[in-house]
Amino acid sequence: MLRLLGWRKSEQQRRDELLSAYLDGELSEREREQLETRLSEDPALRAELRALHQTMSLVRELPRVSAARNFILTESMVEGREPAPAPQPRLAWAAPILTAATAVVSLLFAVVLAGDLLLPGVGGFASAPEPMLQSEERAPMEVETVVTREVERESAVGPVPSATASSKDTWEEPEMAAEDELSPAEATRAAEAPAGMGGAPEAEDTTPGEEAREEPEAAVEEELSPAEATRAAQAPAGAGATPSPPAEDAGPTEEVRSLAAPTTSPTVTERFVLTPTIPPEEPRVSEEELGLLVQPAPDEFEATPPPVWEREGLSEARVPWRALEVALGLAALVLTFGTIRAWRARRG
Amino acid sequence: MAQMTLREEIDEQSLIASAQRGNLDAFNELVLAYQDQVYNLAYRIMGDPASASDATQEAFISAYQNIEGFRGEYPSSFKSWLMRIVSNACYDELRRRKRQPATSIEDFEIDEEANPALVSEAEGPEEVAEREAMARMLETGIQELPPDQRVTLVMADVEGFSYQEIAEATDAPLGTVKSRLARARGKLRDYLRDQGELLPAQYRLK
Repeated sequence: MLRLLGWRKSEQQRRDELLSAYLDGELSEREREQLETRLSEDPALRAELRALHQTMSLVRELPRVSAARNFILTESMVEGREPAPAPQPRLAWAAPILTAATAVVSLLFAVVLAGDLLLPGVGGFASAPEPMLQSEERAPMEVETVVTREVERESAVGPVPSATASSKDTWEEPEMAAEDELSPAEATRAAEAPAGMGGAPEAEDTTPGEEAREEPEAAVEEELSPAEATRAAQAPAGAGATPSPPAEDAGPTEEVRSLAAPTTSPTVTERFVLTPTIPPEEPRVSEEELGLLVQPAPDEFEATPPPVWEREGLSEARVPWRALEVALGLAALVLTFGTIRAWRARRG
Repeated sequence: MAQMTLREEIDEQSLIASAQRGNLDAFNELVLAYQDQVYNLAYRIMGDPASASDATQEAFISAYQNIEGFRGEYPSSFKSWLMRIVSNACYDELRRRKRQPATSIEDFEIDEEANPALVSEAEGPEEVAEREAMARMLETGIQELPPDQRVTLVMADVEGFSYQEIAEATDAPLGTVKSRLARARGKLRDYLRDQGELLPAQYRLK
């Protein structure tokens, strides 16, 4: 109330503060002398001082109350001694800084992404998966030819059993990642996709894994979100470069897989023969790191021919660009969560 | 506040050091040594035994969990550190309650009757009755203060903390402590004046 009326304290309040501090011995020497002079001249002020002093004495004389029970702690009451609440205030204190950092990183992310989308010379991931889509459309007509090629290829795989065995694990990775990033609606649509391929009876034999492996392409087709697009653009790459699965399920699996392969292009035949020579760890690394290491060290690829995704529209210059996008995107996400937590901590 | 002997101080230091290493028995020795003081402060701030017990227990748990952060060179002693924790626990609880309606005066009276600790010996029955009546009156007056002022007043006038210690415990600047204390005392004085004839003659404000 006093504050609403202005910053001036009432006369009563100022007097009480002076007398109260005087009784506590908290006045400066000069204040004390001034007050004592006033007290000697003003009986009303002396009465006020007496009343205040009496009030304080009454409070001090209040009987002390003993604890009604023992407050001894048991182990169960303090299980897992928590760390001092220091981290909480520190996080709370960091809230404004985190907010600023989030804004800066998000802005950077937006700028880099916009640059990628708008400047064809720099990034242009939108055009990257296109060859895959086109080839997918053409594929059903070519299935027979591919199957014959598969037989040749199998013999090529044969001599390296260790490579195929370990590739079985890595084979799942791209599929899992692809499933993760798709919304339920997309997943359903993508699962239906093989049937919709029309006319290709091989599609019915498709294993769940194979369905999932085609999803990234469907996702790219829709260009739903930058993050999805970025990752989806890698997913076909992982799938395309993955070594063949073990011989026993090579039959139907390979046929469907070939749907994505334009057999009319000479590079694809090459790809099937070459893929087993790519180290089996390669797809796992690129997927597990979620694009943080989108570009494998160049020397890894010097010995082997460049994977198909590099030839099909993703120039080497774009890969670091992509890595920057993914890193910025992830940083923005992490910072956003940190900021939310910091503000919550601040509010208590 | 009674001064500790050197011997007691050394014992306390070693108990604190043990507790800091996770020795709960050592910490419980400290609990036994300070629980009355902690409880008294909580009781005077909260105004009823149940809330005071809750705040005391909470304060000791919090103290144990944070004892690693207690440094010997803490500006005040272990006791001040402990009192600061319990006053914070009360303060937080009062702030939580601010939105809810306050406990009625009847509740305090019932609690008061139920508290045998208030009865002291070496007094005639009349004197005891007067003292109790006065204490009840004063407690009601204290409970009518806003939480900020109540905590400040109890720390200063019940426990004898310095302005500096209160400022640390309540996270308020010195000037704020000073003015809260003056307001609290002024309001309590006015309250007692209003009671006038209701107060036992010896306690009436002149």
